[in-house]
Amino acid sequence: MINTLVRGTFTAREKSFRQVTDEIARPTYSKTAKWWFAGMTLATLMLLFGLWAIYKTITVGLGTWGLNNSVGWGWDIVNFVWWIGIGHAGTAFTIFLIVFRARWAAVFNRTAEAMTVLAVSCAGLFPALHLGRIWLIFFILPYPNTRGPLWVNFNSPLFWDVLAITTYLTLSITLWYFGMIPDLATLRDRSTSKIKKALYGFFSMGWVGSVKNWVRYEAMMKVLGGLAAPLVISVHSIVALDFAISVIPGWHTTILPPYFFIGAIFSGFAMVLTLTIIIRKLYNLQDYITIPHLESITRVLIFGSLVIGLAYVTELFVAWYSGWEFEMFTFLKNRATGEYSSAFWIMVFCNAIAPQAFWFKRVRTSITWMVIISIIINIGMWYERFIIVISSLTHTFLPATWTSFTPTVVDIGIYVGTFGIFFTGMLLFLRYIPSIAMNETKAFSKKSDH
Amino acid sequence: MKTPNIIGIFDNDDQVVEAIHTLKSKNIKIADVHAPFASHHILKDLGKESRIPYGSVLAGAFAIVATFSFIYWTSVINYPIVFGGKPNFSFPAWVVVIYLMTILLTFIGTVIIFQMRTKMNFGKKAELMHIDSTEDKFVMIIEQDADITEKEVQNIKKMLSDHGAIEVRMDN
Repeated sequence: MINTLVRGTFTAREKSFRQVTDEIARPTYSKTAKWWFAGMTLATLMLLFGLWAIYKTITVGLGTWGLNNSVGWGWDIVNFVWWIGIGHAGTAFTIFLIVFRARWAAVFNRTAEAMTVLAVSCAGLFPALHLGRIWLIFFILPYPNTRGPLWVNFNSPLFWDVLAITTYLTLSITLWYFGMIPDLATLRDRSTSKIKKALYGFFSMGWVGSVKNWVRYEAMMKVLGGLAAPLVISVHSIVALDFAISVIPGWHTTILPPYFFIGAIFSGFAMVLTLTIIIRKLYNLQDYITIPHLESITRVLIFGSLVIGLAYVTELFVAWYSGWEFEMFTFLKNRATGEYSSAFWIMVFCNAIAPQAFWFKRVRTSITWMVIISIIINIGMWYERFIIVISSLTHTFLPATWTSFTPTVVDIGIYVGTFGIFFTGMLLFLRYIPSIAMNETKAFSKKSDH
Repeated sequence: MKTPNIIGIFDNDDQVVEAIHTLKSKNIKIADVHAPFASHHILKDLGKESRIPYGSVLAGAFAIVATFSFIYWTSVINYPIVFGGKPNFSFPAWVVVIYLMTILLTFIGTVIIFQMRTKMNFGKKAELMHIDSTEDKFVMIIEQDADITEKEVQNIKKMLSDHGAIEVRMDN
């Protein structure tokens, strides 16, 4: 049992090591639940809708999207930035756990990392499809070619972005996978089915948990966690630089990198909160994911919300203080009081105002409120990206080019399809891999190790 | 022929730690302990510090030099193109790529070093001493010297039992 002065009791009851395995790994060896099949059917339908939309995009072209001469980045980049943000929480939890040894992060780490891997994969799909001719995607790689060789432009933030996302995906998959190895070995040794034994055995790489291996494993994970820390900050900062380095009013601002980063952590933690509340209920993990665990996330959300709120106010102030009429128009007219004011105020309410309810202990410890507010935050963070991308591009310097943006069914299909990828992946993960790191839970449940 | 090892199976890591202390005080060498989780007391008492982080530093240094050299060669020597009037040697703009490549290559390098050191690989067969050692049992392995007497073996077995070993056996 873990008792801390600030955060309270973390494990509801004393558990034996075997109980920990039995309860956490139950989904991997028990009969598949009916809700799982229902969820999988829905996710597959979403995925099929997405595949149809991708097929249309590739065979017909980008004309099937709602883009126009002024709005070259539309729904796709909004969703790209949103998904990347969702992904950040997993890496943040890994850093909390591995580098800072924050015990409360142990129960979220595995699921959050799975979420990161899936969210970053979903995100990567959008810029790839946006290329139009996706079969030429390898042009972005610096390889010797017959065009000069015309190397890539290493000074371009768009190339930095490709590298950042690729690095981030590689790192997330590796951290997630290596974090699972001791648990895969546990599953290998207790599986009765031959197929499962062979598969878990293949992926557990012969792990036996010898001292030498544990020492090396811990050393490696610390290095990897340490490398993830600067990366998680830089990934969304680099995404922000895609915007900030341009000259478009509303984008050309130095606040964007830290603002994007905190927004990413904020939306990611909100998504982790929503998902873990559902998982804890469906798999009866209330003894492991306790209210103090969930409360810890709400505290991070209060912090994130305050910083996001400050960023919104700062943007408006700087637009006014700059005295530059285009900036003033974008922030004070177009966004706050003009065509996009309803989206703007939804964003402000969802991200800066609603999460303040978490200051109250009753809200912070209520599962219903936690679910409602975490979903509100994710809607708000989507609106934030919509406001940044669309409001700036529809109204740039030349009023003759002013336009509006409406997504097409293909745009919507790809977005729904990414949810299909995400939920299909999550359901498979929950069915075959323990959603909580069993070895970490066992280690942290030992009084002697504190 | 290899002398069989003395194997002690424990339920609890606290018992293992106590047994390690006693055996160490009697100058008995413990070959290994298999544990279901990283018990920091056991690792502290038995484990040597890993040198993997030194390998990571080397991988990072290689990444910095290799990435800088590659960008310099492509952008300044092999096919210099002027982008927006900027100089070909625009070091500040390269920092981001060098930074990301350093993280990526150090990361990959560290994982490769780990796999080389532990000899772990996909599909490798696990050599388990006890089927539950990845779940809830701790296995202590004591290698016998060639000149060890039967009495000493019995003493070690007794020590393990006294410290709560639920099973003591000889094994290869």
